[in-house]
Amino acid sequence: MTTILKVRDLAKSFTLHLQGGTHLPVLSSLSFDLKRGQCLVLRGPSGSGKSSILKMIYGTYPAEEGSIQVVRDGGWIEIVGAESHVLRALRRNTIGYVSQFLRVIPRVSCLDIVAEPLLARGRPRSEALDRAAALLERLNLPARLWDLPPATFSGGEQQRVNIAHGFAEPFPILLLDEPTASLDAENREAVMSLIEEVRDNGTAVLGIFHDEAQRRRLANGIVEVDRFSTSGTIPHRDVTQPLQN
Amino acid sequence: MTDTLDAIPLLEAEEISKDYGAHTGCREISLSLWPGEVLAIVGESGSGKTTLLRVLAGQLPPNSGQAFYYRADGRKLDIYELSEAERRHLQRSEWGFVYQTPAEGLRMNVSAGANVGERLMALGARHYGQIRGQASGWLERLEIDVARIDERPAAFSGGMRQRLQIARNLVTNPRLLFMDEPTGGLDVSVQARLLDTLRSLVRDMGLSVLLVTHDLGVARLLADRMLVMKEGRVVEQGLTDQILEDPQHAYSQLLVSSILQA
Repeated sequence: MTTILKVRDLAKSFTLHLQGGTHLPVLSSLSFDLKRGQCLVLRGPSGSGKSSILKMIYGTYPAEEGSIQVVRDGGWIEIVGAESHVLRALRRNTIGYVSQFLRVIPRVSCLDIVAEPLLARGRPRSEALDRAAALLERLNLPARLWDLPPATFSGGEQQRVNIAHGFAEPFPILLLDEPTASLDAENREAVMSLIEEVRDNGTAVLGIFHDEAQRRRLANGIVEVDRFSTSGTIPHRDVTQPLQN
Repeated sequence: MTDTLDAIPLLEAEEISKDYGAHTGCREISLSLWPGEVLAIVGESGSGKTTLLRVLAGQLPPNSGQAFYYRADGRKLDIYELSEAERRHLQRSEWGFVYQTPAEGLRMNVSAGANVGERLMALGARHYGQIRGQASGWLERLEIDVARIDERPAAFSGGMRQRLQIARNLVTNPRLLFMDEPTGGLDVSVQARLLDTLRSLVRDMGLSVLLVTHDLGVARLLADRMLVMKEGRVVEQGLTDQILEDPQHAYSQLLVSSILQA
């Protein structure tokens, strides 16, 4: 399998200027590779920086140190310190991301939210809406909700809109932040099969899943993320390892 | 929409400074605006946002610095080396400018239709029926009742005047729109509807936008990227989600902490 994402010596901390410059270290010295068709799971206690890792790869959090490189058009692109237009181009075609919660845009309907990544790649509106509808149907979102903005939906319904948005277009790399956390068993299964499908089609998946059964089903590798030690030692190792038991 | 990583920007500014005597407008500002991008310039009043916008739009000369515009035909223009006629042509064809106060951008004593048709006539359109047809098409697109085409903007509400000003700018299919607090001074419900209209127009027309706003909520809805200004300088710039979720500079953190979480 070919490597398409390389993370090297990644470090992140937050400086809270409004709280007297409080410095909050989150993680340091994290390195791993992600390969085409592989599903890696980030595992570690809450607060260990798993979501921060996804956000650094997506460009939402600037990394403090280290390097994140991704393959695009046969060459390597550095994400750390990249200019905004480079990040935007990567988001359009290279890296997809399903956040933990839907970021609701007021007054925009479900169908339009899900169709947006399709339109961004230049697909005709009718095709984008058809694909959006098919995804919402697969995720069991009742058709009477499709034309409504999801602001008043339940957490599980919003999350399914979010997942449909994230899966509307295929990406070489897909980042998943607890995508099934607020779903019941039936809908969880629909999402799991969607993830398996893209993985088997060659998408490299990097995800956070708290459920052990889900990890076993999806992952072919684990990246251990330890809580940052306050003594200042470096807790991260290059620990991409095959999943056992 | 382009997807090559080495795309050519639409507008490029290098080390732009503008002061008014002892009073500083903006200092040493460099930026690039990319095709199809909405860039919001945010900061409190007096931070130099509007000065920067007007300098980049060629309305004010900078004290120092350079700015370039890449025309649709690929020609690179030095904005401050253009003749007055060339600059006016650019401002009426490939550019648009939406002022916070509609009265600044409209002719208040001529009809709505004539306001929208003016740019077409400036570019040489002479056929009255066609100009009127295009004007009514744009009124409709901006959700202004076409029956009011012969009324003067003085008879319009604030929200409708702003829509008219936008129609007047978009009638020539510009590539670059400068907007100075386009929803400032409007009731929140009127503002919300105007933002929705703007968002879909920007996407459908593939417009690039430089947007000045003090309202991070407006920037969050419209902008791909934000540039945070304080005391005439850019203190931070980044993708909208980066500035909102992980602002680096103390002043950006203060701004973001001041908005309601939604």
